[in-house]
Amino acid sequence: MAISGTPFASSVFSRVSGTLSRNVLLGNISRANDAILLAQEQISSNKRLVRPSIDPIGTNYALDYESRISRNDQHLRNISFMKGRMLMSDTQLGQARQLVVTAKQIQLEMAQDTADAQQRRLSAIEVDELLGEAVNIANTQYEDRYIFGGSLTSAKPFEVVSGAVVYNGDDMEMQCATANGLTVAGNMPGTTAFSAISGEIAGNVDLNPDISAATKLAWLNRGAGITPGLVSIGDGVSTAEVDLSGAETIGDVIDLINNNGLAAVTAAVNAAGDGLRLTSASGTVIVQEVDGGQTADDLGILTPAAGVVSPLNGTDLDPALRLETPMALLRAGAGLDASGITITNAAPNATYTASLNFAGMATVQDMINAINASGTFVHAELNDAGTGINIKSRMSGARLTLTENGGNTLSQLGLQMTLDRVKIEDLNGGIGVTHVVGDDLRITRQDGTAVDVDISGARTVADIIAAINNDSQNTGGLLVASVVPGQNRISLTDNSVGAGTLTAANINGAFAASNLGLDVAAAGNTITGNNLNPTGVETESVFTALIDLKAALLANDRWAISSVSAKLEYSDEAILSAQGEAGAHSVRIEMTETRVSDENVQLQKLLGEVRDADLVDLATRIQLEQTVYEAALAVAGKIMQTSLLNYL
Amino acid sequence: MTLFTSLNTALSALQSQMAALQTTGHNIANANTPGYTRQRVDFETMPPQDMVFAQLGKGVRVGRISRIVDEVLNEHLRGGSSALGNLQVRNQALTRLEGFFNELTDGDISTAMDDFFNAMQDFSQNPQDTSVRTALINQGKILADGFNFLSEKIHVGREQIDQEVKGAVGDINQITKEIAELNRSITGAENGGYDHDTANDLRDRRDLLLNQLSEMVQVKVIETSTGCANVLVGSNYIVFDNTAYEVKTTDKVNNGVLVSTPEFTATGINLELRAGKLKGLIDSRDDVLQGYSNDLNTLARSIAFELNKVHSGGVGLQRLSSIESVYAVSRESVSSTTGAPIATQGRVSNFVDSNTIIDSSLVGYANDFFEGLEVMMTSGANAGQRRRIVDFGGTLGAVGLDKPFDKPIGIGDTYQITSLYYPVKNGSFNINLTNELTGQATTYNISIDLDKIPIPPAGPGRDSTLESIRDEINAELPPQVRASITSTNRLKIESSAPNLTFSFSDDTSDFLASMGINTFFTGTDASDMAVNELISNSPRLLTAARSNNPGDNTNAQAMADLRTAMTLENGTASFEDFYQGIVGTLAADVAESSDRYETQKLISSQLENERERISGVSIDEEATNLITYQRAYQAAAKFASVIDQLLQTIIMQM
Repeated sequence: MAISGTPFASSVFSRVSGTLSRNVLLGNISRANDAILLAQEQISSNKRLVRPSIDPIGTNYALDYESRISRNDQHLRNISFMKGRMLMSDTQLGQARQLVVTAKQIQLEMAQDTADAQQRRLSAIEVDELLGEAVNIANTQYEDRYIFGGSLTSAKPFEVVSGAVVYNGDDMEMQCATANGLTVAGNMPGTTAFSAISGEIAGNVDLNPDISAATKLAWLNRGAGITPGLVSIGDGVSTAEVDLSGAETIGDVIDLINNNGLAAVTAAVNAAGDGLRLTSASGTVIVQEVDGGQTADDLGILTPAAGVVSPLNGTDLDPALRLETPMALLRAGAGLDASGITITNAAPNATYTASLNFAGMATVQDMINAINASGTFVHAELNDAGTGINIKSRMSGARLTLTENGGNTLSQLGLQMTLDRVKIEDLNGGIGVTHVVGDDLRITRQDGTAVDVDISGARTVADIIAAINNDSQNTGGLLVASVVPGQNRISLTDNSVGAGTLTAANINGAFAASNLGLDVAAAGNTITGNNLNPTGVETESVFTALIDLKAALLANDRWAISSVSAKLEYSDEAILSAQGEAGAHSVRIEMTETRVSDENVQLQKLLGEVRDADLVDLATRIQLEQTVYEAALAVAGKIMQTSLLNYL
Repeated sequence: MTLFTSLNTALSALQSQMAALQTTGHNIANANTPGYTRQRVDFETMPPQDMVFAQLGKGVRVGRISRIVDEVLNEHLRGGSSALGNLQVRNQALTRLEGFFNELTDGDISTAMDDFFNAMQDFSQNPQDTSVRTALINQGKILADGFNFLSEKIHVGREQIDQEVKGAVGDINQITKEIAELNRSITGAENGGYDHDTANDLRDRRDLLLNQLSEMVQVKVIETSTGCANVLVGSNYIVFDNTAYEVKTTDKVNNGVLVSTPEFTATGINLELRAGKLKGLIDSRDDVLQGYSNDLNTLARSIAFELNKVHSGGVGLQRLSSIESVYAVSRESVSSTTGAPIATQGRVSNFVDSNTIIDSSLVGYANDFFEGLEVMMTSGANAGQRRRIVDFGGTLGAVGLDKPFDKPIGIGDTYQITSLYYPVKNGSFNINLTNELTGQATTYNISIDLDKIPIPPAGPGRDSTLESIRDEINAELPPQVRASITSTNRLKIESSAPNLTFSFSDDTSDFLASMGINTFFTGTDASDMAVNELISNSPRLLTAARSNNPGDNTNAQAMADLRTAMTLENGTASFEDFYQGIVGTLAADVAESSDRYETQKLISSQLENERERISGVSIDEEATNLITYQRAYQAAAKFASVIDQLLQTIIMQM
């Protein structure tokens, strides 16, 4: 706002020339005119801030409010996109549950003794239709996108191959900004909605790669990287600071130390191949941080202030396993056995097998690519910890097994399926272990103690073994269950002393003891169970349950039909939890939506206050200025026409 | 004493009153003439006749006709004009600039930025949708256009002001020439000072001209005893006696515009400008407009670079089978055996003068090694500025520049020696090949070695040049995908196999963004920012993903997140914050300058009124005078007629 004021004539008596009175009048008139014009501009645009300079501070607020409103509007748009998708997912999952409920009824009816082969065959046709329907639901499109495909949105994520259902999508959750700094998943991938990918066969051996000049600093310390900065290198005589902040790789670090450090101290990869080595001509190496940095420590070469005797062998830098990691550096530089692995995925109508030889493969990426391209519908990936690779099956209704290809590559990768890792429903050729509510088997120790074990909560053989060993009735832990090494059998060893015989028996109508192969005679204080005949890994999807149910119905196998009940239960639970997640998600989104819209209303109000015109105020002001203007004009008219000459 | 003596007395009265009436008429006639000073007739009595016993009055005569003027006030008026001229021009420039920004409307850059990032969000939610991609590209174009438009307006504004500087210098010459002429005339009319202060109308004209001159440039006026007004601009005479010293403008390039600098034609000395329109024009051109233009450039560069860094590392709906970099490196950075690295990091360790930097980290490089490349400052007062290297000495690490930086160089300022427009650092990027038939992707890591080791021109491991990057790509990748250097020194990567496509990722060196490979925007500042033609021609190349899946939106989300990322002012301001800062500063500048302008206008009109009060013509006063002189004339005529009757009486009696 301009300083308001009028060029006025001094009140002290003095002469008034014509130009003077004219100037004063014109000044008044033009000032009144300016004020009226501004008020008119503000009224006609309904904005107080017609120009930023009218109120610079208000302008800053207005700009800030405007951009926050614009961001919020976008967030609301994002939310509306997402709500549509999540609603669709929710609806489709509800329908999928209906399918499972129908399948469960069929399973219950057909598991009865009264059902005959003919009825079961007819039901199999019904189940097949349910399967087709389930695949259709999983391939739902919304706004031209497949909503259950993860980031694969342009092609059907689920397809039927050889009687099994293959998932071609991934587990990606598309992040969507719903408020400032807040993103939520805007879709539900098939992995969450339908458990379309099996639990992984996880590498449980650390592949522990060595470092090389090409190893990136960001991979070190299990992917935590190093703090960029300076290190001080000394040989006991002099010191030099080396700036490592621009270094990208181990090679860069070595180059920088060798070129910018002391001539007497040279760096290289240590003999173990897992860290750095600094050698000093003077016999002493001192490496210190600069300005409280962290770089030397992160690089494993920090020494006490007095230094150490040359050479300084740095600690293991423990690089994370990466796609780029050369195969030769794995297993502390020993590399992998090149004989490779054999992958078998057995679908109802075909078995897909690939024997992969790892010879000639340069990097981990080559190995993973070869596995993924093997045509066995598996998915290999690096594990999150950066220590090994995991392999999963993408094929529902098929069983995945990994075997050695003549060497010991599989065990080197930690991918061997030992019995303790097998899920109990994969035992006994896929029939699993039956159990009831309450205790499922009774083991009687030599001291006569009966140990009644409930295996309901167990998922894997290891869980069952733990359940036996830790049972409250197993006083003193004298009864020890374990997997017979290298075999698919469980053994029980009884360390109690007594006259009795060690036995394992079915109780409560369950068949757990038999199914676990333990209802055999003891040899001394030991029971060595029967071969549990584990099958491969399969997905826990609704498709697996339906495919297995169909196969069991066609085979007219009552036991098999019964055992499907557990799978139907799993898939039902999985869908239910996905539905619950979708619901919770929707609630969260709606809460965010409410919050963002409320905030926007507030912001609009604030913006209005700072930016918009106050019409009442302006109308009053314009009226006032109008009066001033008219008065000035009237005075001008009077003064301009009078002078002494009129009266002469 | 005789009757004839009395007749003479009557005559003197008639003549004097007539002169007074004439002067009154002159005053009335010039009541509206600018710069006119009212005149007054000073009567004085005729020398009396000595009558032994008494002195007998012999009538009246006109002593002088004087101007009613206050010289001190005139000097204040001139000072006021200078200040007003300066502020008026500055205020005009700022107000015009405020209009260009057009802020708080729907057609401003803040709206364009909002819309652009909103479109980016839409894109991240619908990465497969072509219409959303096209909408994003359009918003990108609108944003770039907004920057181009403002930049062009400011550029044209500077050129216009420059023309006005030239015009003002012409006006000054004309005025000073006339003042010199008037000096000569006044000295002549006042008989070399003998009749001091009598050439009223000439002096009025000169005062007016001096006032006009003050409006252009602040001057100091010294009047000599001969009646000459000598005029000083700073410490140099622009008018001395009858001579006007001509001024002219010389052209020099300042930030891409030829700017005129006023100087004395004869001596080449620059005019010392303290106030006045000329000062206002030059300030507006070189400080106000240039300052805002620099800020806009910083913002546009930052948006383009940050976005390009993310965009270049993403994957489009369609992967690439051929790409050529938008930018070229200069020929000095091509050869892998003799060339300079594509970028060499430096840090000012000292300086000899404003165009010679000393950098101890460059000791050991061969003499002349960097000549022809440019120094691009990356921190300090001159961040973003570029200067060509005309000399390099490897003994001291002395970098000689073609011209000094705008602001003083600071020890510790970092810079790059490069021919690119954005900084590149030691690092690497990945090229990911995809077999379109099987979907298999393979990653190849290409290192950008810029660690200054070993010092060129030494052998293997030396810093990357364009050829060494090309060679590394060709060594790493299968023979179906080849990198080459075009005749214009651009990098080109091409796949000859129809089913083998490529994309980029994990660029830690910023090489891709700096070379303009797979970028969203092209351009180096607000004036030439544009959406990369490659993208606008095929929206499917917009990169939403970081994998080969069409529903992957991670890259788009990362680009959308840049909206609020603290990327400017050493990580303390987002794009929006920075822009709001520009607008806020402009608004405050405009408000302040118009306040000062209004205040100065008040002061000046106050002074003007003061002058009018003293020197202006009042018709009432003149009318009163008219009556007075008329009556005096009538009385003198009556007196003459009485004397005539007396004479007649005597003659008739004879």
